[in-house]
Amino acid sequence: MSAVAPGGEELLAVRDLRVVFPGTRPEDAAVTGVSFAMNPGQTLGLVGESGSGKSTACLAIMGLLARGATVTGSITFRGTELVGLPERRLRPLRGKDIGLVYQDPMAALNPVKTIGAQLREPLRLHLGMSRKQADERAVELLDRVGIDAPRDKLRSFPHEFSGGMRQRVVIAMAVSCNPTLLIADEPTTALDVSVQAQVLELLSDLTTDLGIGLLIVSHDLSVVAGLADDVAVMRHGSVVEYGSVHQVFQRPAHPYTRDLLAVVRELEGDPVDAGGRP
Amino acid sequence: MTAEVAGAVPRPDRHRRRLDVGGALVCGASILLVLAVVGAGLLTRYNPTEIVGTARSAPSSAHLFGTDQLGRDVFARTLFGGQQTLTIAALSTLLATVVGVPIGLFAGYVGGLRAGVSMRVMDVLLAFPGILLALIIITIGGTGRGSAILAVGISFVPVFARVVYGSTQRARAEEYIAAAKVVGCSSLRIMVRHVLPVVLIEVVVLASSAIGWTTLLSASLNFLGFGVAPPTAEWGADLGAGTRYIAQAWWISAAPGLAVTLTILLSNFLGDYFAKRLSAPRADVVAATPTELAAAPAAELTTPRGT
Repeated sequence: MSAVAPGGEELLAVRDLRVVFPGTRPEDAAVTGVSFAMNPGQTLGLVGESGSGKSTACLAIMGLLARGATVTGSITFRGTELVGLPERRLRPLRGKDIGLVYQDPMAALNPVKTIGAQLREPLRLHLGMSRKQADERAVELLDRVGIDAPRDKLRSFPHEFSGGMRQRVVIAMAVSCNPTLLIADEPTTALDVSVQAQVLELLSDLTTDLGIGLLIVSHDLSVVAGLADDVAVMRHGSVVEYGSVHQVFQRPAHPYTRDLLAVVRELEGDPVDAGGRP
Repeated sequence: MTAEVAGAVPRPDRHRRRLDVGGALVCGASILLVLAVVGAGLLTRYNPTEIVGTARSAPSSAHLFGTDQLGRDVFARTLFGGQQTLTIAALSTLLATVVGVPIGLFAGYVGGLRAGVSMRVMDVLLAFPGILLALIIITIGGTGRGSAILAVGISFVPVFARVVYGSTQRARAEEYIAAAKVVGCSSLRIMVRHVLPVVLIEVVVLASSAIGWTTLLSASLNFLGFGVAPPTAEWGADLGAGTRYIAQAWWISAAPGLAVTLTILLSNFLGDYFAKRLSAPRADVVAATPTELAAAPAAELTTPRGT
């Protein structure tokens, strides 16, 4: 059973998505027959081991796959078909209606541009703000994501920030134009364990407060369990199990999901292995 | 939850920046050289094109660098000659930058067939030795200063295009460029606003070194007689004129020769200095510093070495 009511005003609906990269055989498609759907304001977790096609599916939604990748199937965002949409029509959606939080905040910020310049860009581009207005909004955003003395930080460069702060900046950028969908691709993987929980809490708070639909991609079941309403488990490019968090985690139907859960429980149940290391 | 962000990371690079003696010397010497050439009229009372003494008289207190084959003051000619040489060098470097950087940026970012074609054209130009290419352009455009600037500038376009092409390709693979795309930037905007600032660091380094190469090339053209017309003083031209008297009056060639050498040396050092100074703050390298500082007990940091 799908957790999304059919016929409702869906935020994002992916149907039978298939991605084939150039130079590979069609039967080696990176993503095959993936379908899932999200209602506005809902959080969907996409879990699976690395190489299962989670990130490829996300990039396909944003239209960011490398040239030559063949995408078939359907991705509708608020009723607009994104597959085959020309770059010119995709651009106004990116950064405005759909925000993306990258895995590695070290790499996602331009090292030679100030935090302020990078925050202002989407605001000026999509909302037509003046530099002054954009500065004000940037300060608000930095404050909202929990950065102290935000006004002073506008002139800082990314290397002056810690990883957790940088990820907060990336999140601030992603939500700056009030998107309806936020895609977070492994948002905590590159962060220290102590910072991970804070960033997840921030994501959860922001999406709840602002009514943003969150598509969170992770290989970490506990991340998804804490945030998501629905879960899609991916393996070898296809969705093997899909349903509400409760359903999937309490009564996993697919053997692979059971295996994944078993691993987590084993780790949690064994203090020597889970927390024994310094 | 804001505890982690509350302690703002100190600016480690600013704390740790020491006075770079070598860099200060190079910058100072370069500024002095340019000032001496620009203010040539203030440093010598002689007119560079006027005969002021006996021909080929050795350096003396009256004529610091001696006089040339016609009896003109070599010191004055070297100072004023720099105005010609350095103007040609600076303008041709500017030309090479303004033309080469957009070609490399475009080809590096867009890729595909168009990039292939434009870079192959650059490779063909690069395959010619600089002086030969410059001579071909002089043959078409005629002699004179404007022509020399054009010739030297065009010879260096492929150098700039190549370097920028390479670093643009590298930058394009960076996640922050993809992130700019995610923000909704057009390709042109990404090239100009996101890639160019990154690439510009290398352009500054290259351009400061290129001043030396263009100085050499423009002096060479003048040496061969394809630049400014006599009696205008110019390093290459004066050096060439002095070669006939090198056995009797070495100073006629030596002074402009040393000036060219000094310019090339300074330009290379300046390039190295900028390369060191402007290298992009590397997140992964710098990020370790505040943590190290925080981890080390304060006493350890303040204890003098060896105690």
